[in-house]
Amino acid sequence: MANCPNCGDHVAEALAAAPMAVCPSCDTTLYRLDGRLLSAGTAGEMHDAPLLFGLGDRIRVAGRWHEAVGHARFAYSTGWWDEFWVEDAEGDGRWVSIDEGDVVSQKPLETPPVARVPRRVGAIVSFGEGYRVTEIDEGRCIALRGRFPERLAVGDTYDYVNCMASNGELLSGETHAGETEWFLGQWLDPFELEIERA
Amino acid sequence: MSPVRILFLLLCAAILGGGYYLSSQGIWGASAGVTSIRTGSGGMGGVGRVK
Amino acid sequence: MTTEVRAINCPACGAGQTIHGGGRVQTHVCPYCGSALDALDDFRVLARYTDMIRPQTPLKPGDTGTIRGVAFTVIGLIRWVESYGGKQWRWVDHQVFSPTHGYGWITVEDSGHWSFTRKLRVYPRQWLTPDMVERADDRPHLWIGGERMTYYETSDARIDYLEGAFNWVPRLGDRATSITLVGQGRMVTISGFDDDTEREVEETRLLTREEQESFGVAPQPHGPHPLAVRPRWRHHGFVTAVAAGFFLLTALFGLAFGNGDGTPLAGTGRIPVSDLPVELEFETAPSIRLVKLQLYTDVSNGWAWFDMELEDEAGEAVLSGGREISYYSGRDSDGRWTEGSQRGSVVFPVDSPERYTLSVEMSEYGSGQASDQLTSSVVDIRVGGLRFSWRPLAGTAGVFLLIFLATQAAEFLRRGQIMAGSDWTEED
Repeated sequence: MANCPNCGDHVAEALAAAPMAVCPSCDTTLYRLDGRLLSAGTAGEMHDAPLLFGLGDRIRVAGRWHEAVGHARFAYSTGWWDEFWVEDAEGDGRWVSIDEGDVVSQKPLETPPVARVPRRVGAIVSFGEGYRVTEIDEGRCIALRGRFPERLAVGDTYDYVNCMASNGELLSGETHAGETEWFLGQWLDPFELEIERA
Repeated sequence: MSPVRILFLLLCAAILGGGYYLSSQGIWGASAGVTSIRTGSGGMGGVGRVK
Repeated sequence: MTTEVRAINCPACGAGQTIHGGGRVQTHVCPYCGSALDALDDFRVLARYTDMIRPQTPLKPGDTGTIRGVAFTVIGLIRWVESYGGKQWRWVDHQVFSPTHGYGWITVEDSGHWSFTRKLRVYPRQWLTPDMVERADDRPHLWIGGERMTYYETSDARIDYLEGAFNWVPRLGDRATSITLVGQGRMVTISGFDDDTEREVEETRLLTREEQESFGVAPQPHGPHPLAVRPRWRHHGFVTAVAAGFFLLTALFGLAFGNGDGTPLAGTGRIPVSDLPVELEFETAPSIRLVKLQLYTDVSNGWAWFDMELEDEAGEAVLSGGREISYYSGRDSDGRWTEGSQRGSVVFPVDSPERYTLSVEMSEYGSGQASDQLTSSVVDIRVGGLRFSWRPLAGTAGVFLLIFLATQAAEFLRRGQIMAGSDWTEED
């Protein structure tokens, strides 16, 4: 049994147990420290916009049904994109990012590339068969909802680099506060993606 | 499997079964030029010189 | 993405206009003055295209409709011109946008058909280039997304009209080379044939009547289109496979039960012609349906006529038949020749079980047309019992073969209709 330290409302067990979550009542970012829920400021405004799927919807990725449990929105040079943290029945999760019909599913890489983060579009990242840098930009977190496997905060900025292999596989590096995390995944076809509305 | 396909399979099996039955009865087996003396006909044709 | 619909005044001509399309819009071409504006740099003028003639097209930027259940807005128009062999083809692509499903194209084809094209995120291992098409002996194909796509045409087109917003930077006069392939209900267009150009795969499907009507335009197709050809019969694969399977099965039955010479029942061995007529006695086992009589005689440059008669156990004649055996040979300017055979056979239907007597007589013989000269000295007569007649099984196999060929022929004709407009020509 947990309550939001900001508004006092009951917070569901799944949210309270997550490394990071957003209170559904007052949109405050919550995280757990020493068994207590702490508030970490606002989770931002999630303006209504047409989305391929939303929080609570289920999608079929890699042959398994996943539920969208976390929704983050990032602003970048030409607008914003949405990132969903989706989990299957076993709690195994992945990120699905969507931006105007470009849908990508990625999982964190356990053995990331050893090379330095490239700084030029067209450069080759020597990892696996080799990935060509297609995009370098900066994203700023503008809104959060649901729960996440890691700490995210509105206002945090990420330098990201997207790289693609000849077979269409996507490698992304995200640098925040001097730390780079790598993700690997595939494109999903928005017309073919199976979606079960909540 | 759709009923149409099952029906087609059954039809094929029936055709094969029918063909097999007729074969095993010796139907259309006699040479031309063989005549049944009892009934005055038989085989596939009448009497005559056949190469 | 972005949800804002941007309204601007053209920096060149001052005309107010709406920019449809999301955050990926890179260029906007003013419909009034033809200025290409940089959507990523405060609508700075990139180029100015004067003297463009607006094409006749039923759609304009801002029109909306529903494709595959998804709402799309027309955001830009682009007309392509292709010239080949003194002929010109023109068509208009309408760039459309959905905030959830991204960018695509509606093309109004020459034939009046409307098609929807979108980028596929598939990356085939094999690739096809115009050079490879040029060098190919057989119509090329490419596997895309698990489907074998067949070469349809190579296009080298030039942009001659631009209007509205695009998620790329098209320029008037730009050329684009692409290869189109046909699959089941869709065409795939590939582009990017050198190391510097990104490989792209786009999929084209015809809009349904409802989809086209959702844009407020009634469909009026008036010509053929490869995607308008009826789809492959959904039972095609099944029917051909089953027919082929049953054909093979029947052929196997035929081989297994096939005639051959039957079970030996009686025979004379080699005997002088002077021993004729002979009588052969035999019994038919219950499963015997036919009796095959095989004759051999060493007739040479002559003929012999054999009469046969079958009597049952009661001594009553039940069947009679005859067989001529003739054999001629010689030598002429083409070398040695032969005609006819020294062997022959006759098949009788029999009852079984039954005891029969078969009498064989050589009633007539001769050499050439007129002479009655005897040219043979020995005969060999054998009687075998057959359980099966081969003709019904052969007929059955024929029925299956016919079904197989008819389905294949229908599919062949259908493929021909699809490929009627292809630029591929088979070379001898």
